[in-house]
Amino acid sequence: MSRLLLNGRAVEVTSNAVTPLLDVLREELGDTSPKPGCLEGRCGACTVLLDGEPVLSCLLPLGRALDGQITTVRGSTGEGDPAGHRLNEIKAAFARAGAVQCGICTPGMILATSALVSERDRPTRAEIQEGLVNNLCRCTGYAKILDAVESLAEGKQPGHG
Amino acid sequence: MLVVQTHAGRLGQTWHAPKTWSEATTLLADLGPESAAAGGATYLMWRAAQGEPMPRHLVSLHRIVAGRQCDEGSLGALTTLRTLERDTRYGAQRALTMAASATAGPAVRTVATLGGNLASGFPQADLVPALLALGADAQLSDGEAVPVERLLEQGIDRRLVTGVTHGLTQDSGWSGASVKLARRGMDLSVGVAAVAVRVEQNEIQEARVAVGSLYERPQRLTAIEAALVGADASEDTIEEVLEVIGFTGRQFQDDAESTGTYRARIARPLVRKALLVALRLGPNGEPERGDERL
Amino acid sequence: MGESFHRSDVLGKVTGQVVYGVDLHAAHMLVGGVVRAAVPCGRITRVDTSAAEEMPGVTVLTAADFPAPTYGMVIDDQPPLAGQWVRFSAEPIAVVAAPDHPTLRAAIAAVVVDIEPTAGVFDPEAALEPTSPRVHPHLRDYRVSFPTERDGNVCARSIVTSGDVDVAFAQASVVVEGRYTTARVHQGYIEPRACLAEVAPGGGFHVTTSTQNPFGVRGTLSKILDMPESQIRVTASTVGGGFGGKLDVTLEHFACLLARASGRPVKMVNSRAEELAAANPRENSVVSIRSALGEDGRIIGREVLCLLDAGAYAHDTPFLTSVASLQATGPYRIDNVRSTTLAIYTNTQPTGAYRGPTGPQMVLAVEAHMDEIAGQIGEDPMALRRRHLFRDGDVALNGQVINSPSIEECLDLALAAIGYDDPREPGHGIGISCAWWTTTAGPAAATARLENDGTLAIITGATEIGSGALATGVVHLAASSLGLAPESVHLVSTGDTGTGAFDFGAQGSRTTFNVGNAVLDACDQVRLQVMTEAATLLEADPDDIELIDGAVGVRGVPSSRTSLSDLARSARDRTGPIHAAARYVAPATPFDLSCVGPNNFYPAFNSPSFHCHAVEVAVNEETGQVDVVRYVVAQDVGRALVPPAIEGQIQGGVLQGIGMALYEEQLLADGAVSNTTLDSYRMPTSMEAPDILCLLVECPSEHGPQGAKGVGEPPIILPVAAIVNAVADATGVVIRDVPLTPERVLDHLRGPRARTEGP
Repeated sequence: MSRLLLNGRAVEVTSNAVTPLLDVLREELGDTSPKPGCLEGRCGACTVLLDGEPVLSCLLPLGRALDGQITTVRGSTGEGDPAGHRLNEIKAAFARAGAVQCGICTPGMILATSALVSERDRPTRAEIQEGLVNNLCRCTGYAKILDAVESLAEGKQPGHG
Repeated sequence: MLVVQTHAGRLGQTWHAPKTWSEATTLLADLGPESAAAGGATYLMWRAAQGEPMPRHLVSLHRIVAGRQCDEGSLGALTTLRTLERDTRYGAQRALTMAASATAGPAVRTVATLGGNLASGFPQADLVPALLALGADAQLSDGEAVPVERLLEQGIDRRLVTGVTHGLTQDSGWSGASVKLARRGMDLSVGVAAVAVRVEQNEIQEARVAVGSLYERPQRLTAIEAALVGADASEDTIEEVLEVIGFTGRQFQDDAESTGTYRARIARPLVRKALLVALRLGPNGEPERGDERL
Repeated sequence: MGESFHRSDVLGKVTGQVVYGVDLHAAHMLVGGVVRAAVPCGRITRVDTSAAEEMPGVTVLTAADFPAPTYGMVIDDQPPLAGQWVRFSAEPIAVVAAPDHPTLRAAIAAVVVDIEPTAGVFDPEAALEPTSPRVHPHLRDYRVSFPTERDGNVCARSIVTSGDVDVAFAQASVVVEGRYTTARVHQGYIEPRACLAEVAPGGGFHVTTSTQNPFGVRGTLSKILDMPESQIRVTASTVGGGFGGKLDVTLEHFACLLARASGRPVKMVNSRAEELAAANPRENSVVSIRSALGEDGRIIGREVLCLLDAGAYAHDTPFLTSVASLQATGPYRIDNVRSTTLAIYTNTQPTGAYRGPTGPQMVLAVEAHMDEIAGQIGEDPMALRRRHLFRDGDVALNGQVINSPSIEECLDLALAAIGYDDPREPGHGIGISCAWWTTTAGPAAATARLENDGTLAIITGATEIGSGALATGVVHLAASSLGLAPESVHLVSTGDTGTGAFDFGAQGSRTTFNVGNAVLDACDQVRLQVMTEAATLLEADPDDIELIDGAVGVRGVPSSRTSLSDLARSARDRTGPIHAAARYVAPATPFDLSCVGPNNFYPAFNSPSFHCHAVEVAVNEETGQVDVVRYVVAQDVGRALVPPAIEGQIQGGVLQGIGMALYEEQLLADGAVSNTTLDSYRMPTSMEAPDILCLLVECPSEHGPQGAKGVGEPPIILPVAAIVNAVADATGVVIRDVPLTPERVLDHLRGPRARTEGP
């Protein structure tokens, strides 16, 4: 029995500590927001945050996660947002910009975006492309996802050209 | 079999997370051959996802605080690539920073470590050419310091790399660069070239040129290095050296990223760019976006 | 540009709450998997499941457990599980259900399969040789549901002819030829195929599955399981991408029978490796094209032979042959044509539809060929195109009449936007491609229902697969029809055979068009009911009632304003709940039967759209890398219902096309796919995404809802040709085989095929 800090709350987990965090989240804890796109760390649909940084949960042993704080896109950030992840703001930007089509990449993209904008206030479009390179999307061609992230810089409206 | 289901955690493996190097080495010695050490564990977990067997005991090093200490010329083995890519953008160590920033993507760099890149046997370790160009030594858990070149040739048995050290500090007048060619943004490399040069009055005094992924293992191109010493620090001279010395006499590697034939074709533009970037930036310049890739 | 827009499913997606196929769960469910052939071709001599069956909680099924011995979309050539013969590597031989993944894996490994390898054929041209092994030696004995020409390894042939092509070639001043090939590419949906099957109380099945086409799946299940359709309910989960790869049964038949045999719900999810080795990717192709030119340089004759590799089972490739044949001329007036397309068996995974099926291959051939013709006769390639572009009233190769085509307008816009006439930077080139495409028909239906709170509920058998066709397009149509905000229109049930009426599936760019028309019809009926009730309630003439902003009222009498929710309640008790159903089938496009022959499945392009793409590339002649610097799309959308949603479709489709042009290909080794990971099958990442300028042209369709045409497929169809042409412009070398990997580019730069510059 171990204690995982997930989205600001401590939860009990019984899975073996070598189990990929993705499986623990989805199967033991019922948080299916990170997705099993490839199970080998090449699509990014399983991305979660470990202490605010992006990780591929399909390749992260539970044991490593137990030593940090995990955030998924179901994390409530509400008022105060102590972890500073800006998740609600990012979700709204994605929705406004048309950055969501089938949505399977969206949870991972949102979390990767959170890590990116916590590091850089106004990333250039090229920096955003690099910041999201671990997250594959097949529907959008990335364009409106990049627009959404750009719009997070102060005062900018989503949309491009 | 095409069904990819990870073994990780499903066959009663045990997780260990020691807090010191000494604890880690003792643990590994006690657990014996059924154990393996991991920095970020990404490679081990990836192999398990391919259906490859996993060691019964996984000894994660991430709790060892000493492993993350960094000073000038001395880097802890557990420094993540995320930390490295934000590190110094000047001098010779710039090569390591550039190599880290071009490796994989941010989610991998969060947990991937310098030590893991060097010691896990991962085939296309993108940091190793930079370490070779720095002339770095690997610090081992039993206190021995081994030049990275020798580590690559001989391995280190079951000792752990605790850090790397090098003497090309900021004020030593060296300039480093690392350039990677990959098919897509986050792919493993087709080739990596890392260089460190010291220039005085427009003449190259010392040069280190190292490549990764092109050949069976990362290595220095000593003939090119020798030809660069005393040469003009100019584009034309670099070109001439590369043309005259060339890349013959070695077997270019075939793997999932590239054929050897293609690697043979791109070796020159790759090394050329690394040299030109290092010369252009000098000891004090900062790399621009795009410098780290071909 | 760039205004935000409403999408009814976005909240559930950004909060990670929606349930995809991979997320499905049922109490006490088992997990299922597939035992697959390890060789591409051979006779099965033994399947021993005894060791697996002894494992606790394990159920195993083999070929004999399936009621129907074979099934297929056109030809009944595919056994649900291989029993006697293996015809492709990774073909399913047995299916297993187990209580957990480690047991599943062990049970799969414990099934013993012996196969005596026989000689196979792995290339469509080799399969045409008379001495080639036959993939289906008894092909002619198979039952077919649609007539198709079968001979040797050919499972279908489509021919479209017009005029007299042999005379044209006999009279030609110049004949130009070319041969273009494309590799097999996978749809690349990020969510693998996934389903959960349960036995329904009463003995039927309920399958929830990541599918684009629940009614299609139900029909095929009915056949495979030998049960009436009414006993099978198929519900689409939220779908994590389809692009044509989730149009028919994938795993549902396995999951259903395992559920019945085990007595528990069964969930099955493909691994990524199984997706890449054993799904239904876009067929590899060889297109041979030649043109006869008259003295004045006009193209007077065109002959095309398109070979489509169907893989081991025909699947829908016979249908696709007729789609390919229609594209032989492109959007150009050419009077004497023979366009032949063959679907050919090989011992490889069965290919299938992928967004714009056969489009990229045929447009590559036609448009690269146009540039090559221009080069050979010394004419400017744009002038050559303009001379031949469709004009109003032209008759196409299949006899259909072209009405008000917008193709020249698209060309003008694209050329201006890309700066076609500007001098090129060193190492840069610009390429253009033009095409026309269809808006697929197929029945649609919808019910619209006024809710107690004054919102509108829509129920349809159509499926939202992520494009926004329903969540944005149809919602927009319904809202604008009844004067509601889009937020007041809810898709309460979609993609469920249990609640909606038949829909032909999310394919062929058809959903907004066909379902949109059904929804508009239903909304018109709802409006009539609303007006009638309002007239009664407000004691006024129906002609004096207006419906605005979610309320009804008597025109000029503000005090009469009544909310739709009050009206809904009033109507409910007086005459019954306000709702209406409608169905829609698009009118057939007239064509000439003598041109297409009687067994042509797809004889004409409906409500055709017109397109021009322009791309600027930079080619590194040392490394062979091709960078897409700028990309312009000029697309005739009929009517731009929701521009940002259309842009999203364009941007996504173009990048898939760029992937096909530069990065993606399935490689074969010993008859099996050798690149079965996302490392080795390289789809574009964010770093490969160029900026794409989307220029929407409105040339309304007579039949489309508010004049809209289908938009989803064309964006993927044109990039391959445009990029090949751009690389030729940059380097002087035409590379006729895609993808243009760096190695291939370097090989050609050193090779003989530089484009001839004319006088």
